[in-house]
Amino acid sequence: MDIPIETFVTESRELLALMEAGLLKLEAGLDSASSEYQEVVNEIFRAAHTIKGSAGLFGLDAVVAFTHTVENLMDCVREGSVGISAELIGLLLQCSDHMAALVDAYIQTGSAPETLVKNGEQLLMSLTPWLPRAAEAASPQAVEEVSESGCWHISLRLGRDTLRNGMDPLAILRYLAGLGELRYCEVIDDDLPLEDFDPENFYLGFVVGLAGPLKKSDIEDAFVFVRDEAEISIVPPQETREQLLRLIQSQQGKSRLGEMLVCSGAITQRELEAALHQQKDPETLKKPLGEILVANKSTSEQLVDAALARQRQKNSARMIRVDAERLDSLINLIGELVINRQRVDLLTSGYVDQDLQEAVASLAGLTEQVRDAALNLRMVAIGETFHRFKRIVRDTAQELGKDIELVLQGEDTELDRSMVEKLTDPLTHIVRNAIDHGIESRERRAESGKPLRGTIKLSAYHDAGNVVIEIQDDGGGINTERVRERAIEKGLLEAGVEYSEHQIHQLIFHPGFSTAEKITNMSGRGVGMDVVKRNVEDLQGVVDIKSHRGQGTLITVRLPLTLAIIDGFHVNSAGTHFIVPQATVVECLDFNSVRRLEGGSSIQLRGELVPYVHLQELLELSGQVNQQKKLVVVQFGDERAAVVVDELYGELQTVVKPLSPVFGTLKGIGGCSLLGNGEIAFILDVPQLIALATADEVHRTANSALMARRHAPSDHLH
Amino acid sequence: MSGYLAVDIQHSKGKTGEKIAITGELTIYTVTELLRRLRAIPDLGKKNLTLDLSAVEQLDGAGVQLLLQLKKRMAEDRTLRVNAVNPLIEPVFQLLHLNPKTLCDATA
Amino acid sequence: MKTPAQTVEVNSASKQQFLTFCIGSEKFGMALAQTREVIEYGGITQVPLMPAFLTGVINLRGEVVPVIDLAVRLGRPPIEIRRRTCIIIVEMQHEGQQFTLGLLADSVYEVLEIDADAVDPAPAFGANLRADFILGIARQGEEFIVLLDADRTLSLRELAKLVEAEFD
Repeated sequence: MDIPIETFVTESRELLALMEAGLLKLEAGLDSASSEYQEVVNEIFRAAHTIKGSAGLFGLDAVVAFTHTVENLMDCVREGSVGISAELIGLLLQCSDHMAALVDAYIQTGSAPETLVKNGEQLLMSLTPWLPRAAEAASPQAVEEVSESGCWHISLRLGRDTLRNGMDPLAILRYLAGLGELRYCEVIDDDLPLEDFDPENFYLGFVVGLAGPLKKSDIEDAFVFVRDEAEISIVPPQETREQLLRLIQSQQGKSRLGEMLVCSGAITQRELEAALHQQKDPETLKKPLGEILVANKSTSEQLVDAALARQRQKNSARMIRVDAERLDSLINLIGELVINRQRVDLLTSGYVDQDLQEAVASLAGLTEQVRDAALNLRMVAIGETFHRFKRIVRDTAQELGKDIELVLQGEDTELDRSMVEKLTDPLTHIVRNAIDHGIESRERRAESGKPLRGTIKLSAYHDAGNVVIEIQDDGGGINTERVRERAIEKGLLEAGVEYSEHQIHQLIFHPGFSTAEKITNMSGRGVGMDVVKRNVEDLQGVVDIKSHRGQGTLITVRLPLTLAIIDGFHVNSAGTHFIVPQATVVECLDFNSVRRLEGGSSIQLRGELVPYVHLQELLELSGQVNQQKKLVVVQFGDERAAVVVDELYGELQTVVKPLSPVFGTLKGIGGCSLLGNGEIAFILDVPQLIALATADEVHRTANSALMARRHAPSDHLH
Repeated sequence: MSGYLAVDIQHSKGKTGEKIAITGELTIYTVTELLRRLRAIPDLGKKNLTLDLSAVEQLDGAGVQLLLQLKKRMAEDRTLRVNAVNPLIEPVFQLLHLNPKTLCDATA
Repeated sequence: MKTPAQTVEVNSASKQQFLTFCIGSEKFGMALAQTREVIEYGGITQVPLMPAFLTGVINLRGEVVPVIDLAVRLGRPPIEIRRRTCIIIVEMQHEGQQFTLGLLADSVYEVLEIDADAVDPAPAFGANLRADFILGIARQGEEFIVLLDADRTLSLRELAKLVEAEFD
């Protein structure tokens, strides 16, 4: 089989992630009698087993050698002869790290360096207390029943009462001979007794080689009348096995192991049902289906492994290997397509030709579908990134002697893949901060009457065209006083001036600012919250912090859903074109037809008071102003506001072009777009816009290079 | 039991060994009777045995089993041979890939 | 910060090519290596809330390019749009990132090959220009051409800071 090594790398990394997740689950505590425990343990075993097998295919000897011991150990664990303990889990986690390191070393240098191998040996040594006493003979690979080429290999042991039940075994063999060519036949007389021989019992067995264009079910039919008491094994010939392998690997539509195997013909429905039935038997301790099938000789381990691999392929989104650059090119092209299509729209709008209009309309529909499909390719669930933190939290908390639990929410929330990569660093820093400075030691927590175990909650959700990621901890919160003191020391704040708590908290994002008394392992690296802020802003997002002394801290990161193509509402104000993201638009109204509040700048909209701003004033636009004003009501978070513009053009979809880095981070504008006629339109960042409108609230700090774009829903309505 | 015997054997002793000729049906219906008769022969298997199956008209699974059991019972250094086979039952041996003369695997 | 690709030191051993242009009555030059093209003034869209030196953005064959009024950047009064006003498109590098800028100028002259010997260092005073913007002063017969250091004059960091400062 010609598998490129990248597939192996991706697969083993996934398997190692599975292993780690499984080990962490065990650590969190599972009742060893529960079926979940068995499942997890089996999964870990299978992961090691598969990695070993695949590594062997590529000749990565060090991986094979090391993993072999881990696999043995896990085998003992799942059989119950070795028990799981916190210590063992810790060692196994190190083992999975080592396996990852070995794979990486092979990929980068083509071999495993001496030091790494030595480390591995030491690690294995530390496992000896748990390893089975018996001599570590290399586990003999289950001898695969290899049939002669081109032959189905059938072994048959009929029940004792076969003759009494009126069956002539010869009739069965004749039936088989009728299906194809009986290449060989062996009569097995092992069970034939010398004493106590009852001639009406049937003791013989047969091993038969049958050649022909047959399906397994055809052969099974021969045993219809005897199979209840018979032991039958049907092994397909080599080509068929290869064919089955290919069939399994290209399986579409079925995702359960049993279904995949039946669909491809590797096992029959009857065999599946028998195995499923056995699975329910308490004695088999809910063994994986694949194992039962192999034990029953319904199929070979090789085919089960292939089916499982296929299952994994289909279940893991990352197995679709597409060069990221190609995907980006594709999306760019589609962007151009979108723009061009709009030009066509414009150019043909004057023509009164039914057919032409229909064709243009259908073109619009198709372009939209293509666009959506392409964008979807870039979307990735944040869950994977979140899950990485489980390990980080565990290790770091242990290092610091703190007891911390990581809770994840909204793992299915999707965002653009390019963002996911860039988010890892800032998120990691925020989480580490929470562990290091946020959550207090057990003693401190006990003193404050808090539960000994601290909680860090990572959650993600979509909100009005944005992805929101929240990191909440129930630690000690920011010591506002200390921050104020430090800030005054550094000249960032003036002594004697009143600042709100929130304003003081924003200084956390100031470069070089740290109130930590000791520089621990992580924060000493000079990565500060200022870098976090910059990283988030590079993604055209905003980060905010809310903290309560003694209770905890909440950090909110808000990012645009996608950087590529958006649906928008095209408007004009004082000659400048703008696009309001469709996701934020609630409705559009005529300004003059709405009830306005006397002396204020709010409108009454269905009983609700909605504040409004004149875009022209807000953005100091110096163009011709139209008297016929229009109102666009927008929504962000829980809040609503209205923007007064001059003209409404309608919906469009457009490619978001990032603004030149020269613009740094503009307030109120999150990118620009090219209209069908080549003109440039600015995409409004609604939350920023509203924040701008309440600029009185935003206080200056001494360092003008830094000011948070705050989006605090509670204080904008005045 | 009626007067008509579905199966019958004839036993004779020779200088080099024993000989048994089987006549009739060698099937599930007759194996019990056949065995009874064979058991009546003392020290069967202690000497080389030759079977004459030229008069066996039917042979089924039970019959084959019986023959194989006979072979298995032979004393260690004694052999069982078949010197004549009724063409009617030859297909059975072919099906089972058994050498009718030795009752051993034909390919061996 | 000079990145290797943009090293434009006028070193003593070579001649270098410069695009020369006019702002007001002064002549300036910029290393040819960094200039991409020169286009007519037109199609500029103003960007809201921008400082004076940022005239706006243009659509350059699908790329949205910011246009800077070089006069303002150099501390002179803003350029008046006339027939010969043009935009010089330059490519800059910053920390591995490439970005494109358009520079407003009154008019563009020729590409001159300037000998290192013909270049004097920036004067300590009197040039009415930030010293760090100047690579050197080139003598061309009777005239002087101020050779600009593009990386300093158009430093992304500085420009971005100036933009942000608008919001305070």
